[in-house]
Parts: sequence; structure tokens; C-alpha cells
Amino acid sequence: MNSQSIILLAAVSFVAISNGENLGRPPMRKAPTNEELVLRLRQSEKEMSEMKESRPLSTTSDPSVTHQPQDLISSSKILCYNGALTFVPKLAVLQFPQNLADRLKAQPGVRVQNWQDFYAANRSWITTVEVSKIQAQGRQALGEDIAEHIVKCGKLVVATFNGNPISVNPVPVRQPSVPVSNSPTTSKP
Amino acid sequence: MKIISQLFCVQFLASVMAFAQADPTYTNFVRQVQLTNPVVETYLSNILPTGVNDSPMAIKPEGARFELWTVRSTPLNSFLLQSTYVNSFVPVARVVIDTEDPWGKQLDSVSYENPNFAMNKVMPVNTSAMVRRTRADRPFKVYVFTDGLNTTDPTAPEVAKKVDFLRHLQSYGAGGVGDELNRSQAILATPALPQFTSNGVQNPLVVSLSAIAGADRTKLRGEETFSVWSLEDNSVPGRSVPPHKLSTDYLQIWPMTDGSLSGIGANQTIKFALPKVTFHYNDTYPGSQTFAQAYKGELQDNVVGAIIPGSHRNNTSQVPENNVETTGSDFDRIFTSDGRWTIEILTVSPFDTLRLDHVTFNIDRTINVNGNFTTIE
Repeated sequence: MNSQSIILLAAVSFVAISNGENLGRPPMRKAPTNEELVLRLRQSEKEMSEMKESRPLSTTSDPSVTHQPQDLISSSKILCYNGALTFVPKLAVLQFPQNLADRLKAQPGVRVQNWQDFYAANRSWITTVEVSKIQAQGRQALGEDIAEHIVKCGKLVVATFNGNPISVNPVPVRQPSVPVSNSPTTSKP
Repeated sequence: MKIISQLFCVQFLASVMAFAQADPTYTNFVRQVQLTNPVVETYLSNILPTGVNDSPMAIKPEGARFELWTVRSTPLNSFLLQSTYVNSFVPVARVVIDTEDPWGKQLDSVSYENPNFAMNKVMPVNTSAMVRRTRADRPFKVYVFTDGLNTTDPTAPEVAKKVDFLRHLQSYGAGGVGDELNRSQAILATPALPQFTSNGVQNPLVVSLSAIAGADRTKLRGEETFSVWSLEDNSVPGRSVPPHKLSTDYLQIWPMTDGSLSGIGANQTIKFALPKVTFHYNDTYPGSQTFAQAYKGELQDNVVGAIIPGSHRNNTSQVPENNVETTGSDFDRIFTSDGRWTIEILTVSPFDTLRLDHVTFNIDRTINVNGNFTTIE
């Protein structure tokens, strides 16, 4: 009896082995484990702690929390009419007739416009008053003629500075000086 | 002084380009907050995607904060794109983060290694509107340039001599990619970093590993933000100017990829057609390619084998991805001879090549034919 082995498949290897420099890709690295990364993080924290010896440390109270800019929408006055709205500073609206109160709320589905376009399209019910910087700061009251115009014009009045809406702080009301008491001082018997 | 504010407006508008340039549903506003007591606000709203505008109000002497907002019409929402404090004596700062992944970095910028930094003090330059990124196990560098600090007059107020350097950490959570992130909830890292007290390009801060929260350090996903802030200014009696952010930059941290293959067991002997093999890739790094390759012999490093058809995936998105791939019909043709073979899953990223899983098995397709031959005269 003869035994015969027949090889059905040819053994042709096309595998190329290189030293990692000619791969056309970065060389292999062993992926660090979680435990190894924890140790490296501790080392990193130690290095960060040692840096404090070189210069004074930055603040530990977070200024990004205490001085975060307020959201534009919630901190603005909305003017909305005829499918469009715009924003002005809250204290920029000096006067609005009660019959226009519904135009200070955002309606759903409207488009946002810049102030110039919105004002141009709504001059029939909006007017502006130019103010100075010290008036905006509340250090000087508006002129009597302007104040009278604001009350009588029957329109929504927006304060502007060089044509841009600006907040106008109220002028502080001076407290009347307290008269010196004339009552006689009491003395111990 | 208006020139200064104009320059800041240009910077604002560059940011708008990335967000709302071609989208008519966004309208841009610049809010100038004049830091008087009480503050005065003016809105500049005719803001085109590119261009220059004068600030509505001169910033002297109290200083002003400029906020660039874009407002979406439907649904109505506002987004703060950038905020910058401007004053006549406020120091200037620039923060630039660099990682080993060149994504978001200008092509002509210095390399991550920056070997000549000590001599020429050149900082890398990043592309605007692209967020730098790295992997949870990789280091990164933070460059800071400061100018305008008073380094000669010891009697100058603290606000003129120092700036704070802050590091904020924020995790995206399991599977998160940072959408709808409320950055006001970022955590100020401890220990605090040292202040800057000199002008010029500072030596880069080398962060060997991200410190964002996560029990499994291989699976971090989140972002780190570095910013330079002015100090609170109490130098003028009766007037306090709060700290202001002078510059900021952030990077995203993405998890390490893991993967597995199933369908063939270790040391299994295959005599006929190879079974279907399934590859699971989890958290592939953005811009990486992940694939399985086969080669003859035992497991070896840095081998170029035959890429298994159907296993290759490029992650072309900007966030990690999960994929499940299976071998194609011509999978069998790769294995051209009997013997020991290895299949391994590799993921190739700008950092390195990592092996995610492997299996070594036997192929024995030789048919032994045993027969008797008899002859008859």
C-alpha cells in the first residue's frame, strides 16, 4: 500500500515584515491601561503643584462664574411686530404706550432683524431720542423739552447714542437733607 | 482708543464667519458694556459676517466689554461667540493650545515638538473656528503670550503687574460629544496655576495628561479650557472693575479606541472555508483609520499584512464613532497556505498605531488521501 500526500493549496506568503520605520503609518505603541493612566495623572498633578513655587498663584474663585455675560435675549428688551423682532438694551426703552405692550413680547416664528432694519420698517410707532454719555450714566437728566416730547409723542421711545440703542440709567433721586434736631440733650441727673 | 475697539470688532467678526456667515436665520449683535457705575449698554446690530465697525462709544477711561452674539430666529436662541475686555491699560494675552494631532493647526506652524522654541520663542498658529483635539492618554502644550504688564514699577497696582492663568475642566459624560454644552458649568481645576508677571511668549505649559473627570481614564471625553484673566481693579477709589477674560483657547479630549473580533477562536484549526468574522470598533478617534489585517505566523509588532476586506473604517467625522464590520465574501482568499495565521485589529491615528485585539489560529487544508492500489496480471 502506498501513501500519498497531495497538497491542494500553494503556499505563497505575501506578508512583509518591517522594523516599523517603513510602514507608512506611525509605529505601534502599547495602549496604556487605566491603572497606568491613573499613575500618570497623579504624577502630572504633582508637577502642577510644584509649579506654584515659581510664581504667585492665580485666583481660586472662578471669575468665569461670577462675571459670566448675561444671556442676550433675557437681558434685552424685545421689540416685535409684523413678523420681525429686534433687541435693544432694557433701559433703552424710555416710554411705551400701554396699547403697544403686546409688541414687547416675542411672537413665535418671527425673524430676527438688526435695529436699523427694524426701526426703518416701524417708524410709525417707534421714535428715537439721542442722549449723551453722561445722560446714559444717569449723571444728567434729559432736557425738559425732550422729556415732554417723550411723554406726548404717543410712540415707543428708544434712547440712542450715535444711532445705536443705549441704556439710560435713571438719575438718582437726592434725599432731602435731614434737619438737625433742636431737641435739648438730656443729661443724667 | 476707537482704533483699539475697531480691531476688536474685526476679531469678533472673524468668529462670526464660522457660525453664521451663510445662514440667514442668524443675526449678529455686538453688545458694548461700558463699565461705568452704573454700567451703560449699547447694541451694535448691523453686523455683517466680515467687516469692520466703529465701537458705538469710546472706551476711555472706564473700559468696556465687547460681547459678540449671534441670535437664531427659529427657535429663538442666542449664542455668545466671544467676549473681550478693552481698556487703555489692560494687559494683552494670547492663549494657543497645541497637540500632537495637527487637526486645526496651520500647515506652516511650528511642530508640536517645537525644538527651536528656546531660541526663537515662536508659538504655534491654529486655524480659526477649528477646535484642537487630542486623546485621553496623550500630552498637550499650552502657549501664552502676554504684553502690557508693568514689570518696572513696584508701586504700580496689582492689576497692572499680573494676570491670572486659569484651567477649566468639563466632561461630556458617557457617550457625549459636547452638543448643547453649558460651559458655565465647567470646573476650575486645582491646584491653581501660577500667574504671569512678565511680558512676551511664556514657556509652554506641558500637560502630560488631561485631568477631566472620569473613573476610566482611557475613556475620557470632554474639554479643557485655558484662559488668561485680568485681576479685579480696585486702583481707583470708589470704582471696581471686575476681572475680565483677556484670551482663551480650548481643546477636546477624546477616548482611546477599543475593539474586538469574534468568529474565530484562539488556536482554532480551520480545515475548510473561514467562518465569518465580526469586528467591533468602539470610540474610533476622529480622523483615524481602523482595520483588521492578516499575516502568516505568530503575533508580531509592526507587521504589514493583508487588510481584510470589509474591515476598514475611516472616521471622517469630528467625534468618536462606533462601528461593527464583518468580513466580505473574498475574505478566504487571503489565507494562501496552511499554517499558523494571525488576524489583528489596528487603529492608526496621528499619535501611533494601536492593536485593539488579535487572534492566532491554524489553517490546515491539506487533504490526505489514503488508498490501496492492487494490480491484476
